[in-house]
Amino acid sequence: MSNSPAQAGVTPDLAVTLGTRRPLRLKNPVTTASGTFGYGVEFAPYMDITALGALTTKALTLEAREGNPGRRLVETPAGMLNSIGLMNAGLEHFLRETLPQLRQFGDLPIIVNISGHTVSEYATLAERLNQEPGIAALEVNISCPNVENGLLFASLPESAALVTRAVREVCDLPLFIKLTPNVSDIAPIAKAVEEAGADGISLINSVLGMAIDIQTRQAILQATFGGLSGPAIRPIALRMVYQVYQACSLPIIGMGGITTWEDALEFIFAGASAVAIGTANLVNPRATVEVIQGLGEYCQYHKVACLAELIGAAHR
Amino acid sequence: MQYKATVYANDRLFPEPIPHPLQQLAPCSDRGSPYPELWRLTLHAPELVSLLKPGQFLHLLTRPLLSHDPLLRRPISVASWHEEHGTCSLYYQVVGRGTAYLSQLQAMERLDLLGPLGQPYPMPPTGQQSVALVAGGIGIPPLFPLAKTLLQKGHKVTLFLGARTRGQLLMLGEFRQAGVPYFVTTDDGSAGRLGRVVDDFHDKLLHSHHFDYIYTCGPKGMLQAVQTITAAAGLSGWLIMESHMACGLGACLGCTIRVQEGEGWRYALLCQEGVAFAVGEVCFDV
Repeated sequence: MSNSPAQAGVTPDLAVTLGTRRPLRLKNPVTTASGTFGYGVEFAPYMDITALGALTTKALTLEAREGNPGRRLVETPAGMLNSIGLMNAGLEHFLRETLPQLRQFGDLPIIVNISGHTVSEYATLAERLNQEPGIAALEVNISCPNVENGLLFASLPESAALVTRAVREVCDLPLFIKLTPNVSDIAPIAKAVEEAGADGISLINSVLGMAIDIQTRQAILQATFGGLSGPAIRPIALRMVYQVYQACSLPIIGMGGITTWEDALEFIFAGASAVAIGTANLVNPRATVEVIQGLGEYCQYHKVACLAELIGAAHR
Repeated sequence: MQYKATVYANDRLFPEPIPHPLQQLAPCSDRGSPYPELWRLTLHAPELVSLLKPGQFLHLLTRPLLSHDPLLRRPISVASWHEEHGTCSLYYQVVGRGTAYLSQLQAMERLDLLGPLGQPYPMPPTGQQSVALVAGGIGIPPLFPLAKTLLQKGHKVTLFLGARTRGQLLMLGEFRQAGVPYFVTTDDGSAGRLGRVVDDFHDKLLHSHHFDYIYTCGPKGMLQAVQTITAAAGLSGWLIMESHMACGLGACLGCTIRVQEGEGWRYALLCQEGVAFAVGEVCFDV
């Protein structure tokens, strides 16, 4: 009998490396979607945080933001709408309080998600974070549907490239640009951020949606529109990951409704080098570790020695 | 695919209990509708029950085990628990798909349960002997474990409870058995005084009773009225709030309550700081 690593009892290699110029190596392809996992500590009673491939933090802005007033959540069929409004304590607080806490997770790669109103805000954030030890990569959220300018940057190739270039100039960390699905064609936007110096692409952010209260005849969310997430958007996300994989050569962190290891595999086959678990964390705090376990068992069963071999399988 | 059928079918259709004290598959040991339109559910979850403190809530996944829908958990306050039996009971009203699912649970069917979540109720400071509990409708059960604890600690407890109609005066027997004196109000006058529980409380506070401290749980309008009355009377105490919530862990930032802080205000997370908020602290204007 051969001693191939795929034999029962031998752990398959789940590690993936994203990008070549500034490679981001993860021990498994599972991270958390920004804003669904806090800063990790919230989930520590329920799971081993260090089992993650990486931890992606709640969006960080230069100044503290109190978030949106009124109702922020609505459940929808197999999904939810949110309009949190990037509630966070701002950069200084993050550097002083949160980052030291995150460093306690040891070798766990920390991906810091940043967001801003203006190009210079993104650049200021990136420049400052670039000097800090313990950050593995930046995820640049140019696509949050809840803040007026966010939609603008990710909607057009030119503005998406503008932010990417500004951040690239001041930052040596691997840069993942997070794109919105609320566009007519994702491919030119992906190509534009690739040319502007991105190291990878995260997609998708939430899908713009709304819900109306039939009693009051008004929008349920005080912000009127919100970001739809959860299993309801998974086929849209999967389609876009597939398209972006074809359109450019950047590694992709795929996300959008991934709840189980089966879902994660679909994204990997579509071309994602890593996957982020989002809304599923809000329902099952152990969702990420269950996905990691399922991926391992799948590889073992199918005698896949290295999970990385499966990336983009649907295109071959 | 072959793989699923051979390796995973058993696992996934009949999941094993989740090996974690704070997240469990808890069998439903009793369920029913002891009051019109109101339901009671009893779950067997010994590890979790041993951790429960008055004021905490459970976060229930109200869907079949392999389904994605309804997506989010339902936060429900615990009405009572029995450490030796390892069971806890909660009351709910069927208001949507999640609670409709709960009402159709079969005995021994298992629910994915997260908890206990939220902060235990803060206790009255020493010297605050006479405590009023003001409860309306489905807001009555969360005050039952509190009433028992207050009695154990030697407080004098008076309960004001209101409901739409006689049949919906939840847990009246339990409160009676625990030795809690109470005043009843119903919207239709079918039991006790006709009118609003808040008015009954207000009258007695002004004319006949002395209270040092209050707790209240019920509809938003009621909480707001109680806050106004008690703040005017210079009383301290706690409003037991609810909010639309996703994770219950402080990650989604969805369950915010606007509270006063110094000269200004801030958003507090109900799941982290609540479910009780201090009288005078809550801004009801938004």
